[in-house]
Amino acid sequence: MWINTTENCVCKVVMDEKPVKIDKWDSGALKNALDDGAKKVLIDILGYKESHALMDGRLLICTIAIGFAMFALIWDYFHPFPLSRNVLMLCVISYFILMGVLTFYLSYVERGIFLVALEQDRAMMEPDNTWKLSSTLRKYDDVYSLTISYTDGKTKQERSASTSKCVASYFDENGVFCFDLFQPIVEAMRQDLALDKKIQ
Amino acid sequence: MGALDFLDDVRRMNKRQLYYQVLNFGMIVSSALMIWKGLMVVTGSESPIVVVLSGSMEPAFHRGDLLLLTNYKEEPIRVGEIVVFKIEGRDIPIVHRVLKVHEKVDGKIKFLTKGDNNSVDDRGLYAKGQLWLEKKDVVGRAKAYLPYAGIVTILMNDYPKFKYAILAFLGIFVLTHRE
Amino acid sequence: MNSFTSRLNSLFAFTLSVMAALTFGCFLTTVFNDNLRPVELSVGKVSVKNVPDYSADRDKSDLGFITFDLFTDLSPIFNWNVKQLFLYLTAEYETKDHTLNQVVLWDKIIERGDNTILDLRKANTKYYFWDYGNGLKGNQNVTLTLSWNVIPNAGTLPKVRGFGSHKIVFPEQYTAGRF
Repeated sequence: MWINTTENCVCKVVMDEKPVKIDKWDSGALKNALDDGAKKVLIDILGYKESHALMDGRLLICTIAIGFAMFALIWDYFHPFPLSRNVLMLCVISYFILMGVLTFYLSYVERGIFLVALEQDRAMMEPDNTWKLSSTLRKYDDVYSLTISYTDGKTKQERSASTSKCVASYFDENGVFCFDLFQPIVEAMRQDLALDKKIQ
Repeated sequence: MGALDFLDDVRRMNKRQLYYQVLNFGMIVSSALMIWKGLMVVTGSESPIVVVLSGSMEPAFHRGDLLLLTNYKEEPIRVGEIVVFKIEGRDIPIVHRVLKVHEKVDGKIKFLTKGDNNSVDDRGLYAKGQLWLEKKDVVGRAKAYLPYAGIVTILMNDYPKFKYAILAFLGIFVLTHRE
Repeated sequence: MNSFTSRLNSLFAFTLSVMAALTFGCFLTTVFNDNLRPVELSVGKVSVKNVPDYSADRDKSDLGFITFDLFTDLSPIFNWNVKQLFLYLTAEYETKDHTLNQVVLWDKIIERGDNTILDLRKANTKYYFWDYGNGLKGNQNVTLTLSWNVIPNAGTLPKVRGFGSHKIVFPEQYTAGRF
């Protein structure tokens, strides 16, 4: 019964959209398509809830930085240069500090995590289990590594699994993303991590 | 394979990703802007980098060369210096060398300029009836020189359509390409 | 790196960064040179007239006349990052109204490959020696110096005053007539 519904879901999702076709030489597009695929497995098919906190943090930093730049521009327009010197200095320094903060955030907080999914307990009794997905695909390289890390809501135990495979395993020759080849791999990783919990 | 295939990337994005896309574009523009404003603060000049637009300083500077300017108030203007100045009624600042300086006790200064490649001084270029330049006319003094680096600016000035084409192309590219 | 354009793009970007690094290295090798050289200067005839300055405000101003001898060898200044030297002969003096007056009397551009040994005898000035008012007659302390502005291939634009100067003493009387 459970499996059945899942399959229906897959059908529905796949029917809804036209297949993802990308320029297979563009590593950025490859990575995005695969990340989107993994996200689809957890969110659309398994029905986990996506947590946007990480992305929102990044958006906030960028917005404030651009706010400083816009303010400097407007202030300089109304108070031409020698007068606006101190305000400009303040804005410029703040902007470059924020760029530093953004770099720090991307490399130490986000660390390539593109999805944080919360698996809610059916009975709503226990805290959510957290799934963090991160991936790497180096430039001029064809190996896509996906890492799934799982934090048990109740025991706070953390486990992770990763897989590295050539991108050619998931795309056909024309650059069409074969979701049906990718989905089982993500599913299997997820199941291994989830089962591991029960054994312990 | 439609002509709008390049929009597929955009269609697949959610609200946050779309906003990030706009922010990304904004940050490219802001970074350039903030570097420019930062240079303004550091050099004290309202236009810290200028592109040479005329051949009046040849053979030292040619069209399309780049000059870095400073404009510190306490730094005196002396003969032989290359200054960039503005003349009332002219949009484009002029880059020429100082030929004569007369400075009063209170530091008030009058000076005359000439282009290396011109045979006469600049009195004919100044506003009607203006004989001398003063400190307030100065945009900056040339401190460093980089050849050819401003050639794209010259192209953009000569062919405005080329400028808009480049800007539009870059804008669309950044907005439609994910990260 | 699959298409012709992406390879061209990488090649272009790499070429540009290598050139930028080399240019910066070239600038670093010469930035600490002092470009200082000795100059032998002396003047021959000295006279001063009081005539209306039609190039300026038409008031009667002092107009000095000098001939000068100059010897200097500037070849050691030329290195791989010097495109040209702009030489200028400056008269610097103090008057009642102005604490500092600087007037360029003569200038010369020496490009790379030109003769770098200057040996002038009884040379005439290139520009008129107009004072701003009547401060030349009887002026005992007009200093003549030769300076040069080094124009590099890329880098800073140092202004150097040659080592050695000459003091001009103007007569107490105006010269009448043509000379």
